[in-house]
Amino acid sequence: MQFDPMIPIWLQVATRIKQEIVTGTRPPGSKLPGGRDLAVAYGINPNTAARIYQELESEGVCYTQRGRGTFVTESSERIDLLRQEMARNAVRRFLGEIAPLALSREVLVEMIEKEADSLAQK
Amino acid sequence: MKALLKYEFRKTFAAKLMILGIAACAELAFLCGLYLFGKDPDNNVTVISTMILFFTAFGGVIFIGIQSVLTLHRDMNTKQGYMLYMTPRNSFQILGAKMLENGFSLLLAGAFFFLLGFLDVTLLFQRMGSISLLWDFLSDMLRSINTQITIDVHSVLALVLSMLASWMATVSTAFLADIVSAALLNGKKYNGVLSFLFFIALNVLMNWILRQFSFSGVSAVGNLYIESAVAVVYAAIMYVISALVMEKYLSV
Amino acid sequence: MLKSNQVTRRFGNFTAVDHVTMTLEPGHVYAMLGPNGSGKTTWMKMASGLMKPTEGEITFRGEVIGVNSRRHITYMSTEPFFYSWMTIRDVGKYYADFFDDFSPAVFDGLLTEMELSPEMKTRSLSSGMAAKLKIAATLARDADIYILDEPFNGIDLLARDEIRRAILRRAEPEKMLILSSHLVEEMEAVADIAIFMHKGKLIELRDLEEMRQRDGISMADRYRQIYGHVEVDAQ
Repeated sequence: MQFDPMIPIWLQVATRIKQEIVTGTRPPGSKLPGGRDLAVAYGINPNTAARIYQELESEGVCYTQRGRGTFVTESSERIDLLRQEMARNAVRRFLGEIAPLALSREVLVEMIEKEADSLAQK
Repeated sequence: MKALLKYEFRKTFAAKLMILGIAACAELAFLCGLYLFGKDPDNNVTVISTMILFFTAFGGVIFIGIQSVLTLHRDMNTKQGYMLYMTPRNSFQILGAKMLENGFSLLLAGAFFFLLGFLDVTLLFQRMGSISLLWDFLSDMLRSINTQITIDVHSVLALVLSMLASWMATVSTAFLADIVSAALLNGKKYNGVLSFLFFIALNVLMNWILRQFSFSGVSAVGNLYIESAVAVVYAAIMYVISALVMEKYLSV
Repeated sequence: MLKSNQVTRRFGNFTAVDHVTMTLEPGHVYAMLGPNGSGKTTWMKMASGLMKPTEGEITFRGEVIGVNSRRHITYMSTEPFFYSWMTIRDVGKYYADFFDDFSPAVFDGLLTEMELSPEMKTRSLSSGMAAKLKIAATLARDADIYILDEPFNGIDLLARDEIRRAILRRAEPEKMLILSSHLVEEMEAVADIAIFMHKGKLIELRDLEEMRQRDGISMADRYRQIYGHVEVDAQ
């Protein structure tokens, strides 16, 4: 994984794991690698890896069972919420990026629909 | 200590093997000359191989003697020194292993070449048909080293002991001079010259000290023992000073 | 805990390390950074007990660095340093003979992973292989502190990944790793604290994730800020 060194590494890896949870690559209830393994797999500092699980846990995206490891949450509601949150972030990023072009809302919506149609046809 | 000794032997192994190889070749030539080329032991092969054997023995023992100084120098002045100084061993152990290895190798090499020489001379005289000449020859040789010594096991042992002891004293002096050069004079102007002068001065001092312990009322053999003891004490003092300087000041 | 207290090292008139005072804790991977000649190697050698400070001292758990600390601190120099007569297997035996914490099994595992054959002579190794061997021998020790001087030097991209993984596997909570590198980007994700040095002086210690979060800058950015127009020699 290539990192953007200006953004906290834990944030980048946490986002990646969240994506994997939402897309089903990491199904609900599946075991996540231990902190040290995560560090080795991603080539990151172990403290950074520990931070990732702390954050994911505090957000309720995963949970830790003493002596057994860290698991993806089994709550489909939480995963749906995560999906919406990530989608909202993506939309915000998109809007932020397109804002300088000063398109009207109608033109923008029309454009999105047209692109979505052509994507669906492929 | 065992590990240090093992690797000191290992470091000097290749050179020793080479000396042994040369000696073996010369010995083979000597035997060929003696038994294959006619009755006359004066043939060229025998003469040349005897000379080579003699110089190998002489040069080999001297080289093995100074080899520990050469390895110490390399260990203090090249990257391979990290290998030695990263180990959890103090300077007393490191230097001690070097001196022990040196003394032991020297003794072994000396004994080896002595036995080889003894064997070859015996064969030579036997081939010439006059074994009695051998003893005359040996007595002459010893008398040329020390006029007061007559040939008996006791004096030979005393002589070997004193040679080894004074060699240890010389090696420990060289150690100290080289350590001072690497630890205290490193990067300074005239480092090499200064440490060499230091070595010479220490040697003069050693010889002066040894002379103070030569007594007229004591037999030659007795004096050899006293000289050996003084040389050993001197070597021990040099060793302690060397190790202290190394421990406190050496950076590799 | 490794404490450097006013540590200074001079070579003649040149001051290689200039009154460096800092405390390093276990559980961290430190990246020691700075252009060539900033004193990284000299400080590392002093922390390993190979070099003596001209002034000041470095202590490990309260004891001045010396023969005893070599049992707990392992150092890997930039240059290859194995005896030329050694095979790779001999290197393993040497470490096993001198270090109680050396694990031949871990060493063999690392050799296999890095595709090094034990029969190879150290003097016939390519620079990349020699670098891998140094790493394998050093990391096969179960030491408290690992000091690695330029572990990524002269190593191709793929081998760098192997070495990074091997280093990270050793980054256990009770251990301390200090790495130097002029390949700053290589260290971004591996280290969590950067030690910036310049002309022998300690400039600062920075928590990297905190710096990214608070200031939005990378370790490389901070490097450029500190050294600015200073000529960075890429060796």
